[in-house]
Amino acid sequence: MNASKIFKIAIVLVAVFVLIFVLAQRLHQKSDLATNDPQGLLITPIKAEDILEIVRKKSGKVTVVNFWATFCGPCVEEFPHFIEARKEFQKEGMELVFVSLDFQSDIEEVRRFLAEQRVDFETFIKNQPDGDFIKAMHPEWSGAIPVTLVYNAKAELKYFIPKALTFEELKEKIMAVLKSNG
Amino acid sequence: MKSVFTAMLSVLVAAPVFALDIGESMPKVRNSLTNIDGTKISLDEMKSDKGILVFFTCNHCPYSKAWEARYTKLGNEMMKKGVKVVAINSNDPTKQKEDDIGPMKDKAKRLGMKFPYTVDETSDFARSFGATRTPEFFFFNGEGKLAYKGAFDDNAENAKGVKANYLRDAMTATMNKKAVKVAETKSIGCGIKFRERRRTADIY
Repeated sequence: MNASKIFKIAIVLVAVFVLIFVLAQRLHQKSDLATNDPQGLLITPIKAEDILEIVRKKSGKVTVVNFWATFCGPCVEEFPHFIEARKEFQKEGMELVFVSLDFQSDIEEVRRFLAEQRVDFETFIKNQPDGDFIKAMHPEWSGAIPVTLVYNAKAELKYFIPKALTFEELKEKIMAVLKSNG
Repeated sequence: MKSVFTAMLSVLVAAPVFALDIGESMPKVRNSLTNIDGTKISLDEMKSDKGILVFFTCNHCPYSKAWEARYTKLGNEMMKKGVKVVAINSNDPTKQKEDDIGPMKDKAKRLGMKFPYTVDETSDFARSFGATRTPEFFFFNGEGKLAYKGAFDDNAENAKGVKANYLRDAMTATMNKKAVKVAETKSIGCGIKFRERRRTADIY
């Protein structure tokens, strides 16, 4: 009688431990998803008008929109500068919007690259015919990448930069906009 | 002092880059182009009453790759109609090794290009045309005036999804002495990897 009771309790205890172990594993995996697992990254298809809407809605003091692609050497090279700048200026109100111009069919490539760069925030991928997209973003943009646009707190465009940036150049632009906001 | 520098820099950045406008003549470039077979090609001496198609492309760029079968087909077809066709690669192969002469030869062979695929050894052709990306197309009419510039069509990614054949329509209209409906278009493309300028006197 006693022995079978003890046995039952032991089984329940083991079951509880197994459950806790499984749950802990799951939680651990989930936190991994947010940082390392490419499948956890949110890459939202977007139109130019929606990018401009995001710039208006973000409460950032300076919003940097960078157009890039995995196949674009200079884009890939300058990419870490934006992440670095975000780390440095996030507290001062910098918002960063990455828009990939890779083909939608290459989204896995984009995912891999973003994970490699440890991007853990939402980014975007162009989902609009080129002509309309380019025209809506900036009249002087030829469609060549890299291109970076920097907006102030009022969502006014301050810099249109149709070339790759060094970290110093990027920092200088961000600081200039932060300063001009007053 | 720093703010003055910043202001100057922003003016430089904001200044529009050179662009060739519709109706303008083909720009004169001191250098000649080198075809993949080693022959020199001078755009200046090229004449055709049907027109001249010049386009900037390369090997590595996915946008160039996406359109390559389409532009090779159109180029070959237009040559038969008497149009002169020249493809130019202005990329610096030290910056993009897939754009070296070897891969260019492979590409031309693989695609069956019947027109020259040339090396712009100083990238000055791209500068003079105001080309910024690959691929980018320029069609000059029988009088040598720019009749169309821009994208091949409106859908790089999906040939079956094309709704507007910009280049073909512009070339056909021009050859039929009709007005070009859409003379200027834009598309996403890989920024041209320009070679560094050696002497400014060489340019323009």
